[in-house]
Amino acid sequence: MSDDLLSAFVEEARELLEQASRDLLALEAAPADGAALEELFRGVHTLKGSAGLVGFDAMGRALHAAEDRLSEVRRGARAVDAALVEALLEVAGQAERWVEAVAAEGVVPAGEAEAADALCARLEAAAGGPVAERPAAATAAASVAWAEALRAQAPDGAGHLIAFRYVPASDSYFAGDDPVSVVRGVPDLALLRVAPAMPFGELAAYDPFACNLVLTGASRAPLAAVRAAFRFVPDQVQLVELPAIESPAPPTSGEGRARSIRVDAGRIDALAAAADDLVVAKNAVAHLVAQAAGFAPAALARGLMAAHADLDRRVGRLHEGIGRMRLVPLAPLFRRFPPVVRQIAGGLGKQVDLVIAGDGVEVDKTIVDGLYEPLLHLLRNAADHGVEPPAARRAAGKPVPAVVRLSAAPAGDEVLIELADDGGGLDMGRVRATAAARGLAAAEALEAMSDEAAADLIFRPGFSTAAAVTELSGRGVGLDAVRSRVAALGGRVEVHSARGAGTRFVIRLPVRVRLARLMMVQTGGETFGVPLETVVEATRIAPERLTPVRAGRALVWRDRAVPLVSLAGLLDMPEPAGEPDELKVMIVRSGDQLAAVSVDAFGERIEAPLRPLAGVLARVPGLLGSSLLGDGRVLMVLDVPELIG
Amino acid sequence: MTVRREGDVVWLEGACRVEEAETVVGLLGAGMRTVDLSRCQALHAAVAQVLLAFRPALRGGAGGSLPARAPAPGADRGWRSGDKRPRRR
Repeated sequence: MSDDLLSAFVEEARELLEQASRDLLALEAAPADGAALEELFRGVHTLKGSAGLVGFDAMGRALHAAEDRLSEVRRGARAVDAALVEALLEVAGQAERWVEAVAAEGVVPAGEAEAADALCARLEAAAGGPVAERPAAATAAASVAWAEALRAQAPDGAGHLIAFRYVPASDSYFAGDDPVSVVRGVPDLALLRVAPAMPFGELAAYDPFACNLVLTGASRAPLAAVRAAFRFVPDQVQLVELPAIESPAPPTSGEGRARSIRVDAGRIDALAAAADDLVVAKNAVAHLVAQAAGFAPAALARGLMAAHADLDRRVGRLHEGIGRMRLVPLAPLFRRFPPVVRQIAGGLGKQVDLVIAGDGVEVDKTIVDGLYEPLLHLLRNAADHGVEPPAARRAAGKPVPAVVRLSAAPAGDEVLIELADDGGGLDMGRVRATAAARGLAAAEALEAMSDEAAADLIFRPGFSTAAAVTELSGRGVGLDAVRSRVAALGGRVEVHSARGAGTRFVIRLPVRVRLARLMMVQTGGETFGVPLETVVEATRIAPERLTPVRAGRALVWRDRAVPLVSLAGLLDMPEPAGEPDELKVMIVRSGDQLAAVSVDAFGERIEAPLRPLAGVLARVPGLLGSSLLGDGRVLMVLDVPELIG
Repeated sequence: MTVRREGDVVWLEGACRVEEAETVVGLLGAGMRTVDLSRCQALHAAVAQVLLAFRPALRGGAGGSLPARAPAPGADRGWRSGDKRPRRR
């Protein structure tokens, strides 16, 4: 036989088998999927023909038997059930091994009749109705294709896995079993799929109490532990032990697969820190390039600038690539909260269930590490102020326990973390009264404020009072601490509330640590950084344009009167002596108000990694973090709105 | 009450037990097309199966496949003594 014919067979067979596996998995998930059935039937039919063409009788015979079963399904004479899918997956698995043998040896293997007989018998058994009950013993992995198929879907599937396939008896619900909850009891679950065992048929005749599910999945726990989870339903479960794959098989084609290697987190952190430093070094070059532009020949200056722009781009790409390596799931962080919430609620005589969703979402490790405190604060807040005591909930016709839902969802480059309680919601009257009492806004302004804007006042420093600080609030800081922590991570937090229905905090965070865009300002001989996002405009003002207002001064900016404060004053530094010819001011947004902050000089704008402060400095209000300058100096980055408070 | 109807939306709240499957079938069979799971803590397999069969639009909270998100930490597991069991018809 010509080699050409054989290699064409191998090529076509590989494609058809790959498609067939996909179709089988689709059918398993949705047995009524007509398109998958048609495609599978055509594929098997074509492959059977090809096998005959190259004289591979054993393979042709097995595929013929498979085709027969499929054509019964197409006629409606039988349903796609778990047993049939399993038998077909076995045929596909064997066919794949045969095809690879042809590829390796260059000839059709002889003496495969027995294997073909076994497959035909298997298909026959599957056709005879549900296969006989199997003991929950681990079968040899090689013979069970569905288990291997699961491995392919499990994250990090190369490790040791126990695959299970649980087909609950149709009267399970009457027997008091909850198959979902049984499966939940499987330790170290790596993968779980729930699908109908048979097509549902006419929904008008749907029987809600007839169980029609097949639950497949894989666990990383030892076989005995998985078996223990199914101890009440051993006759309905098939377990297959999949030993760890020692070394990944070389890819059979040029097609690259997603592979992963385990790297110590410390190394990644070191690499990320080195990339951060590289950004700093690049900024130093920027400084030199700007200087050189002053006296170097024009051509050289242009060359330097172009080279620098190129460096800028490449460093940015490197920084981003390393950032992607640092993505970790939120699950370990979220898992820390349920016991804490139970304890907090218990201490308050309340009942709270914490519901967690979306904890598979991945974000930068720094962000995960920095989120514990703000989220804990919000959870305490929800248990303390959000959720009503049980008696009040009953009186309002609400269920006890209360539900606090912590969820995460990706949204483009950002991750959305939501903490929602089903408590009483914010009492806007009280929020306004407190804000007025604390002098956060004038009474008229509060009246005119929308509820949304007024609700935002709870994040202002000084809103939460000593009186409101229970022992729960720990260090006695309010929600302003949450906002500044989230801002230090490059994110923002807002609150939505519906009276009687609950309060919802929404935190938006970048998935990766972004370089902060900073404007440098000088005052009292010191240089500080201010995030560009907080600066509405940097401008120069003639002193004549200032008007005295009560104790202070104000200026008119775009037809609005904006109070003027000096950065030196905010920082308790000595005010510059004398009145300058012109004032340099940043217009800054603080809540929904604008303020003008005067500085001695504006510096350059830079992009730099913002490091959250640690230790004692972390509690200093008005400081967002620090950044390293190109010349090695440490730049303190200010939270100007918080300073204005 | 863990199954609630609000306009065109079926809300599943708290821990949904086996006997609620029938209620959900009634609502979805009557043409309701959306199920909100944002306040759902645990779904009994029977209720999850109804969602698989009727395929309503699911909404509420973060993504994730139905079985992955149905049970949640702290959720009830299966039967508790005193729970109602479905009656054979």
